[in-house]
Amino acid sequence: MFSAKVKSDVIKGIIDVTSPLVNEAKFNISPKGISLRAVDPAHVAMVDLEVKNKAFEEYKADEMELGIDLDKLSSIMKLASAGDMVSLEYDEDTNRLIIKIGNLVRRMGLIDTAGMPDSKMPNLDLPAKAVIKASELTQGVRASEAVSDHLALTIDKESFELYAEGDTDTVNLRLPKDLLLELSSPGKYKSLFSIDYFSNMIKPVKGDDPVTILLGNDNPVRVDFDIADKKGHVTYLLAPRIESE
Amino acid sequence: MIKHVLTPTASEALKFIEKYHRSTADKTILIIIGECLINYHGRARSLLDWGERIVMIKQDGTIIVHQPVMREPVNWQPAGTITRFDIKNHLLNMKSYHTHPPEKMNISFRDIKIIVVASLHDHAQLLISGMETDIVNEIVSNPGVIEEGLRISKREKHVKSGIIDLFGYDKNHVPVVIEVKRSQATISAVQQLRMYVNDMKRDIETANVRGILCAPKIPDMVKKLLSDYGLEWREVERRIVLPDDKQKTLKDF
Repeated sequence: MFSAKVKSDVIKGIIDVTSPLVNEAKFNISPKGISLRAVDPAHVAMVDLEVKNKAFEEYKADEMELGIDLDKLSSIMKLASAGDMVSLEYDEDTNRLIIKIGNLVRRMGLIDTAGMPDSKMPNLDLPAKAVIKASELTQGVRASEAVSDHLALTIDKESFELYAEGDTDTVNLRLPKDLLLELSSPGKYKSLFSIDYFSNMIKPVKGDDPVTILLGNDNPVRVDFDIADKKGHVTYLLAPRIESE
Repeated sequence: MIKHVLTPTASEALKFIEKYHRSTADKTILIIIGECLINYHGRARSLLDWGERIVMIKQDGTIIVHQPVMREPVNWQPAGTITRFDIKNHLLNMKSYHTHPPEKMNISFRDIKIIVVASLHDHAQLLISGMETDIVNEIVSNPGVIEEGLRISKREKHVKSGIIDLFGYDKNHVPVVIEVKRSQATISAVQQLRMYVNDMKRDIETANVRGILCAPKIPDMVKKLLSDYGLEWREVERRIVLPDDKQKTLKDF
C-alpha cells in the first residue's frame, strides 16, 4: 500500500537529482519515507536519496518498490505548477501509480524492478570536508564549464579551492575558511572531476543552501545536501579523473 | 616531414612527387592545387572539365578532389587505390585505379600552383557523443558501440518481411541483424526484429543469427520479451559514453 499527498516541488526535486544519471529508478517505499539509489550506466556517479514521510502532507505506506520511468514522471510533473498539491497512490491491481494533480488523474504504468540492481555504496576514506554555499559553488562550476571539461577540487587546512584549466583560460575559485560554513581537513587533498557530471550534481541546490563536500586524493568526491525543506537528503558520489601526467 | 614546391612545370612536378611522395612504407599525403581535368570510369562514367581544384591523396591511398566550393568532394576514390604519375602531352598525369569494384580515374594537371608532400601522424579517433547524431550512422561509423569486433556489411538489407536497418557479422562471423529505433523501443519493434532474424535464418540457411534491438531507451517489459525470444538489445544513446581512459568509475573504489 502506498498513498501520499505532497507538494509538486518535492517530486520535482527528486526528479532533478536523479534524472541526470538514470532514465529509470527503483523507488524504495517504506513507512518512514521514500529512498532510492541509482548509478549511471558508465558507473561514474551515484545518487542516494531519501525523503522522509514528514516531507509529505499525507503519507501512508508499506514496504514496497516502485519502478519509475523518470522521463515520464517528469513530463507528468510539468503539468503541475509550483506549490500544487499532488496525490500519489499505488494501484496494486493494475500495477500503476495514480497521480492526481488538481482534477487531473494520470495513471502511470510502472516498470518491473526485478531488473534493477541494488547498488552498493563504496567504502571511501575522504578526510577533507568543506561546507559551501550553493551559490558560490554554482558560480565556480559555471565559470569552469566555459573553459574546460574537468575541474580540480582542493581542500587544505585553510581553504577550499576549485580550479579549471583550458587551453588558454583558467578559472580559480578560492574560498578561505572564514567564507566557508565549515572546513576541516588534516592536510591537503585534491582530486579531478568531470565538469559535466559535477555540474549536474549541484544543479538542484540553490542560493544559500549549504553543500557539503568530502574529498580525498584521487578519490571520489561525496556531495551532500538537503532537499524538500530539509526533510530530504541527497548524497552524490562522483568518481575522479586521473590527473594527466 | 613536409615539403612543397610552388608553380612547378610538369616535369618539375613529376620529379618532386617521385622524390618525396611515398605510397609504400612511411607513407606520405600528397596535395596538389591546380587546374585539372578528371576522367572517371567505373560504376559510372564522368568527365569533369578543366577547373581549379584541390587533389589530395591520403596516406591510405584515398583520393579526394575538391572544387573551390561545397562540402562534398566532386570525385573520390576509396582507401587502397593505387596511383601512378607520368607526363603525357607535356602535362602531369595522375592515373589511379583499384579492382573491387573496377574503377579508374585519370587526372591531368596544367598550371599547378603548389604541391605539398607531408607525412602526418594522427592516432586519435573522432569522438561523437551520439546524443544528437543519427544512430544508424553512428553504428556504421563505429560498430564498436554495439560490440567489440562487430562488422557492418550492409545498410537497409531487404528481406521478406521488410528492410533490415543494419546487417553485419560479429567477431565470431555470426550474422547479426540490427534494428534501430530513434525513440523508445516498443513490443512491435521486437516482433519486427524477430521476423527479420527468421528471414535471415532462412535466406542464408543458418540457424545461428543474432538479433539486436538498438534504441535510446528500452523499457524493461521490452527487454524481457527480447530475452524470451533470444534476442539482444543495446541502449545506444545513453551507452555511447566517450571512451575516456582518465575517467575512473565507482567500481574502482
